[in-house]
Amino acid sequence: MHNIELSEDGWRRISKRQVLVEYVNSLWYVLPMLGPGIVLSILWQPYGFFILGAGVIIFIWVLVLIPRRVRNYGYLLREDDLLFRRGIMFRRFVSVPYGRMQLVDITRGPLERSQKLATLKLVTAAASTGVMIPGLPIEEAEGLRDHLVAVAESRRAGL
Amino acid sequence: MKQNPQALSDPFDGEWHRLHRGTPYFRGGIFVLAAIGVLISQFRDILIEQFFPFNYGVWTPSLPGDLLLWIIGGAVLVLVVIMLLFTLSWRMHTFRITGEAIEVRSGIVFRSHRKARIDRIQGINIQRPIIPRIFSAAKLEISGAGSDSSVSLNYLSSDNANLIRRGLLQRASGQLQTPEVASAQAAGATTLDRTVNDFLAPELDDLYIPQSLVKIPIPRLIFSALLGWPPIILLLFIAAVITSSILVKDPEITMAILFSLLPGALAFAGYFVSQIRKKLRYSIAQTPHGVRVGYGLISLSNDTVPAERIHAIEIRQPLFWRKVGWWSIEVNRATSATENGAGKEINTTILPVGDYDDVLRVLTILLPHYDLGAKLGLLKAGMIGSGTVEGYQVASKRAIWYQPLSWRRNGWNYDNELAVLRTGALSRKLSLIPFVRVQSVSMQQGLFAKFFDLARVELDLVTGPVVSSVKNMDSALAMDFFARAGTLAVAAVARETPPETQLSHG
Repeated sequence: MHNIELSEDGWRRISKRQVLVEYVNSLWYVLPMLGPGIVLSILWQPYGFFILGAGVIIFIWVLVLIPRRVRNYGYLLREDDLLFRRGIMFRRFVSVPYGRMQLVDITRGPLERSQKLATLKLVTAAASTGVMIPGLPIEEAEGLRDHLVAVAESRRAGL
Repeated sequence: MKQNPQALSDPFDGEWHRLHRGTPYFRGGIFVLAAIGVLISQFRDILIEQFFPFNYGVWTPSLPGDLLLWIIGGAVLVLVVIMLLFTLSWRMHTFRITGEAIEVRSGIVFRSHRKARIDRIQGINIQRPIIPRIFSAAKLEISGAGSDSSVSLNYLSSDNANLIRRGLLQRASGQLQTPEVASAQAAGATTLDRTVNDFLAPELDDLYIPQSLVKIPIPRLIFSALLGWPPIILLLFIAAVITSSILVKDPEITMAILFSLLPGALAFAGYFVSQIRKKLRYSIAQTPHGVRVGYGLISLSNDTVPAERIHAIEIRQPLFWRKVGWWSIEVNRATSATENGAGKEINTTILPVGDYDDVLRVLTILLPHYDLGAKLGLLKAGMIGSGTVEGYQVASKRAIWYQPLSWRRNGWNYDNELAVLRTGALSRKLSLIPFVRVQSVSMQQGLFAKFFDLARVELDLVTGPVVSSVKNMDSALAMDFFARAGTLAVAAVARETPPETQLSHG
């Protein structure tokens, strides 16, 4: 059993405040399950205990997993490309040559704004690139965007 | 900017030009036909009664004569209005070609002005439906990268379509001289001769009369369409019906089943004919500005794609083609733009069916700068081989549970320029991906893959049919391939022709 890993040091990590953002976001799928779950576990005895148990496990799962997932986001500016990593159970590494970037997008939802965070999205001509770095402090996100646009311009290539 | 568009003498003079004079008729023609069709179907009975007004031997005209006149007059009026609108739209539809861009202005109420950069052209398609073809006209579609990025010029005279295509492709590849107008017009020939020649010409070009590298015999075309899943499913279905009718032994039920099959059979026949029709008179050739693929018997279409605009190549052999040794070739292109559904097929299929030698010939023009001769062993091992031969590495044996048949076949190989990915034990596929077109490289490992120590690497490409990932690699090998592919992609970009020549400037 081995995780895939790269022999690179100096990964830049995202802000810990992102944990809060993701907790609140997880309410979108936790809350709709909560109501029916409670009602069922009270009315539908004795099986209700199983539902209750499953609910508690999911809850703990979310509680534990989100901070770990946030810790595992990372990016690294190398000489010629940007490395991106994410995930614990589903790990993913992406290398994007600077010349291939088509545009860099910064988005900020209301939750992220409250934490002074931003999400940076990197778009290439390939739909499968899918590099989205959430939880960057806004100054860092803007600095990174400007840097990426500058290096992309200097190494501009075709499609 | 000149306000009065010129008659099209030299399309590259930077002035605004109009399209072919027949455009309103070609575009409106469909409406005229439809209107006539509707009229006939609606008033068929009335018309018949009008001219043969004998109902059970008694003269009973159903419509007063002047009412019929009104109906016909009204229809003609509607048609005249439609044609006027089309003519007006033709008058408002102008284009010009300047040094860097092609611009099109169109629309009567909602004006649109589209400007496309010539150095971003991904390919040029000329289509010649039958009616415009009779009048020596053609549609020109210039595709850019992305979904809604094409510029269409419907319709142009064949000569001009030809001239504009050549000129644009020349400019797109950085050669700035304007093509000779005179050379396009065969001197001395009468108009009639020229029309006839133009109608018969499979290709629209006279400077480079491209020799097709591959000829597809008609029987091969038919059999290639028959050797697929749909016909085999149909056969199974028929067999099932026959057995069930034998078992039931009731002629009425048998007839009922047979009739219920009829729509399916008709649909299948239609599908089959369309499959073949699209591929008739296929030709592929190398021109100075790219690969040209032509199709069509009655309505012609031909597509010119600069070789640098082909992002990935896939050589395929469906299960039922293995015995006969046929292959097809698909490519990824940065454009998904085609005007009509019929062009869809043409867009990515470079070779509909061919044998091993045909594949080699097509590859030489798809990869003009690559030394294929030295890599024949690698190619053959990729097409039909399996296991770790010719430098191929294969999926881990631990993946045998995921891919019991194909774990020895699914493999990868690469040199400095090209990544070669081999997949599929039954239906074979081989992807050839130039690193210079790889947009990014990614590596993934799912939950179960972690327990089996497996990972997956993908070379991210523009959207298209080509398989561009290797699954179930040993994770150490995956990490190695990920690192190397990333480095090679960066190096290939740096090596590519500098932006001054524009061609690399996708």
